[in-house]
Amino acid sequence: MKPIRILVDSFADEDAINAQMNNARDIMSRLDPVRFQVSTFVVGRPDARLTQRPATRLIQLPRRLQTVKILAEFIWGRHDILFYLKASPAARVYMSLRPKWLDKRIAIGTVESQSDLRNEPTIKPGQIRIWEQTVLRSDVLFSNSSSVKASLEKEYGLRSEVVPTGVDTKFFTPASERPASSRVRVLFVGSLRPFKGPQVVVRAAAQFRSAEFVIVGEGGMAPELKAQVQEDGLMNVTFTGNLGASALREQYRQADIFLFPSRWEGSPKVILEAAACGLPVIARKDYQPETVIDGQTGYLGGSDEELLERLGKLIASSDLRRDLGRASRTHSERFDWDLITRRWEEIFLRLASQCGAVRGS
Amino acid sequence: MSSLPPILASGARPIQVLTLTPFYPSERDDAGGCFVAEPLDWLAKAGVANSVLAVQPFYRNQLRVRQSERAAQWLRYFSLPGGFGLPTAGAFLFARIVGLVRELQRANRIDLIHAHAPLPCGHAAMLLGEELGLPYVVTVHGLDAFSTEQVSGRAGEWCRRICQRVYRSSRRVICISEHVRERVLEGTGATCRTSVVYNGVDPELFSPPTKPSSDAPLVLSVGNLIPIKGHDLLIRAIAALATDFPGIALEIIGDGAERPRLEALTRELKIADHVRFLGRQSRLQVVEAMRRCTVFALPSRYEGLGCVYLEAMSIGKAVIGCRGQGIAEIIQHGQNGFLVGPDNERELTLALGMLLRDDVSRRNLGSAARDTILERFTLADQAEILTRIYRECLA
Repeated sequence: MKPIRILVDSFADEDAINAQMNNARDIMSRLDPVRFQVSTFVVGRPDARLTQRPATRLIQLPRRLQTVKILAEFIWGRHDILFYLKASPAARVYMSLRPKWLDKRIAIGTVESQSDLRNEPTIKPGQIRIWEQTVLRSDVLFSNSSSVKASLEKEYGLRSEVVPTGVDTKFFTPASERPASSRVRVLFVGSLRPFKGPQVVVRAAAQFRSAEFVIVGEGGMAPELKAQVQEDGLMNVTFTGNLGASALREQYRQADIFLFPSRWEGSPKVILEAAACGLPVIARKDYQPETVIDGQTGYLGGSDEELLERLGKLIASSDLRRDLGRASRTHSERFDWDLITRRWEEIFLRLASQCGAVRGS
Repeated sequence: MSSLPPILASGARPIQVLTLTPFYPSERDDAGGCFVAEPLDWLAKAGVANSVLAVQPFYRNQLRVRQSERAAQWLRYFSLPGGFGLPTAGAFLFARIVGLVRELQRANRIDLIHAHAPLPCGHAAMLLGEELGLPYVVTVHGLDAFSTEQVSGRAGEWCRRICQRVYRSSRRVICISEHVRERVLEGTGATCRTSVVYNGVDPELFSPPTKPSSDAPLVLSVGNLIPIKGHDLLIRAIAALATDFPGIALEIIGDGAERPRLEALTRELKIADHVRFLGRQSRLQVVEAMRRCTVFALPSRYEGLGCVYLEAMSIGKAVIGCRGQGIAEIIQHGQNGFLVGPDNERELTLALGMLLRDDVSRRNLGSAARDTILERFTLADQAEILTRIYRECLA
């Protein structure tokens, strides 16, 4: 009777801001330490939740030759399950070696964005190729939403199971109270890239001058957006740049509406964070976010015009904002990491028993 | 006016409480009822003076008060044998002590009665309250909040009705965990006022060992030998671990009807050499055993709270309890101890194996456990909350 040994191909570093790594950390730190032994890599200072977790091995990587060490762990490490396989050179070598020898381990790949990567100009073809040669070659694939699953099936004919991305509903909680007199505040959080639609937020600011707009995030579009704000003479737009978790939470708590006009997403965690903080969410239908229920926790629109029309409606009615905001918080609780991690635990147990990894039971 | 108590430095007159309890340490067993006796010193410091009446049915052995600074008086009351003993005992107890309590009241020495367990003490407190116009509070120490599991049939139904009345007319029903509180609220249709007061530990008495324990893995369990405590699971888990840990030992403190069966089980599993049944032990012996163990485990599947978990945590040991029990309100799995599924031998074995193998995790869990106790679960914390409740009840 031994615990199931999982190698998580990710980093335990506390300052890893990559969304995937954050998700991996959120899952690892909640996995039952009695039944699951976790190994993962670390370069700098590890997340305290992981250093405190029993049955956790943090594999310190050198500054150089990281690929060699990671590959050695892949090949000789004693693991039953390989989880959260990354598109890395080491994973590529391992995945191409795998068919050549009997490897009883199960590789689990997770897909967290739409699979039509080639349509997104910010992603280089080389990156797509390595992703296809690693993650997509996993024994089992998991998508984080139904539309991601559908896209994986459409683009590559690959089947996957859906496990949504989670949110920490104990950390992200609504503000206890807000000053009643303040202006309606609309928030956007995301990298400043065209598909995320920060330009739509600036347009909205020009249209609804009575409301305040806050844009959190950095990216190539920043100068262009700021120039536009200047040109239109908008006094109601603030750029904050990237923010740490507590400062970001403070922004959610100060805001009244979350406007997220992105067209190309898997299951964006910012929607869940905003919802957990009790904000109604306005987002686009394109990627069918399951984290927003149209008309109940916010609005889903098919075009930018539709989003702005909904925004106007929400800015006008504080009762509507309150009702949708409350429903939004309740809905987000279904995506709490504790619940999502229980689902991963069941999946690990099921897969391990299928390949006979639960030895001696 | 010489009988009046001294005025405290704060100027407030101390609250006079009559504690009425079937649980109290005696010369024969200094560990029994320590959860009632130990907070009293701390209550005194907080401005609560206590008179203690420890009671037992007449057919039990005569118990004597231990040589102790905690003044108490043991009393025996008449009780019917069989199932109808419990529902009627409160009335007999009332008859036995009403004169005594009236005297105390005349001497101005009772503001409030604190009864432990609804039957018989809570019942007697209710009758005393009606007779003498005294308010009372009652503490529920276990999950069988209406004594319906202890007593079945028509007598059990009678117990339930009395308990409901006792809870409804008490100023406060004090529950030792949220788990117990839920039972009380469910059984009374939420028609009584409840508070949760967790049992406190003396962190000086239950302090970490000064010298490191020996290398041989030693698992300790403390509890009555009754089926709900899950000793059989623990013995089976030890048997499963004996191949990986040839030097493993299990110490079991406590006694009960299960002992012959458990001893037979150790022989059947061929691990009789690994298991030591120590029987009932004194308070200090328990402290010593907790200090020398590697891991404390009690896979009890029916536990309102479980003081022994808190004591082992206070000593700084990694503790294993069961999910869904009172202790799950205090142990956060993987942070200050482990929780395993009730009746889940596999998880228990994995948890024990993990803790015995991983020294660092074990130490981290142990020191986090001690921190948890120091933060919220000391006798001082318990006395502070109790005092506040007494004051609220008298306001």
